[in-house]
Amino acid sequence: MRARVGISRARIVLLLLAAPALCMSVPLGARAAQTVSLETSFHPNRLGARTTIEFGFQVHNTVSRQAPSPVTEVDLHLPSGLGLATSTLGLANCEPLALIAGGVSGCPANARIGFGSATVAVPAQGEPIEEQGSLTALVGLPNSEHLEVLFYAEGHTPVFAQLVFPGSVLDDSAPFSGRLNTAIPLTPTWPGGPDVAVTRMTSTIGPRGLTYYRHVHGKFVPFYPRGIAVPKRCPHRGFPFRVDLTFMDGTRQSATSSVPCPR
Amino acid sequence: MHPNRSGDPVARAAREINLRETGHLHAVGEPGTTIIERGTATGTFNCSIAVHLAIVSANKVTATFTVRPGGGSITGRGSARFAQKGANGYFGGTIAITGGTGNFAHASGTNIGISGVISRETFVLTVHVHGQIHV
Repeated sequence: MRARVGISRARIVLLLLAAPALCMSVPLGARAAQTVSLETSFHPNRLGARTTIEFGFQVHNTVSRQAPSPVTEVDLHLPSGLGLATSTLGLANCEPLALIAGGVSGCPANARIGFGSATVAVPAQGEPIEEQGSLTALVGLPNSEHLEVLFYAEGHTPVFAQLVFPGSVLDDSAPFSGRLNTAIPLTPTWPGGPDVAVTRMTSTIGPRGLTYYRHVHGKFVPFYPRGIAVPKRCPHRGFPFRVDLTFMDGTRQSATSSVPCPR
Repeated sequence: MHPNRSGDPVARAAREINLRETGHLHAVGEPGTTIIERGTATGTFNCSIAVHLAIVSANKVTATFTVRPGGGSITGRGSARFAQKGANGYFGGTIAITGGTGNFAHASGTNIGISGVISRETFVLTVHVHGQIHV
């Protein structure tokens, strides 16, 4: 069962002083058209090495001065052969309720598997206002069927919010070994107001920038988790990724990217 | 059938064995998308055991095992679901006997259960194999 999507409602603080710029309603029924692009990389990019995956997608609105339709689902397809299971990422599990209540520090450090950022467009009169927040990826509660991943997003200005996006690593078909399927909750700017729209999301999955801890003789000893194994053979056109985005307006867009074979 | 001293073929009765093995293994080499494990098994046979776990995806592995009781070997292959919980990975599925050598040259069997737990840090593996085989 998926982790529940959580929005800490007690923590959503509306900057009412900024309301005059934000209160103008976005015309109902306006359907923004959007396209999406994807970037992916390995750090390091070496065959047979242990690596950190970095991915980022961006939503491009084809209608000027209007926020794109909010993303409601992200499907990131991962290349075949990546040794995620033989990494030591996620040696602990994060309880979604603890994440909502306490933020990232509410979960064990050993549950973190990556970090990044998310940019959202807040509808407003004139140009949409962009807000960038931090993103942390953590392993969720154990599941006998698939790996659960939680994305914790935190933004401050102009809308203060802390959000949890539940994701699952599901089976996939060739040339992909699995897909990270993440639900993006609709987030109103204010009660009854328009929803913010994710326009950009980047994240790592891997040990880069992470420190884990183990208990040794009564002390916490830091160590770095083992990364994701890169296959020893590279496909002809590099390691393929694909992202499929579903939008609130009912449309779906996809983008592909390949990590080039190391020279 | 195998020949006796005079060369005449002699029938050998097939027998059914309730195979129940528990193996304790450690990784050999650098695990990547395939983990090669070797160790010892106890149960129906007390012998050496080797297991190859090929990581198909985050949720699925293929498993090949070989046990070497006296007089031959028995090999099986199948797939299993994989789930990680904290520092351990758990797998469970079924395998089929793919062949044997020596006294077990005619080994066969299907729907043989395989399950186990592997430490994601040290790759120390405990595996259970259980099912009916014909030899």
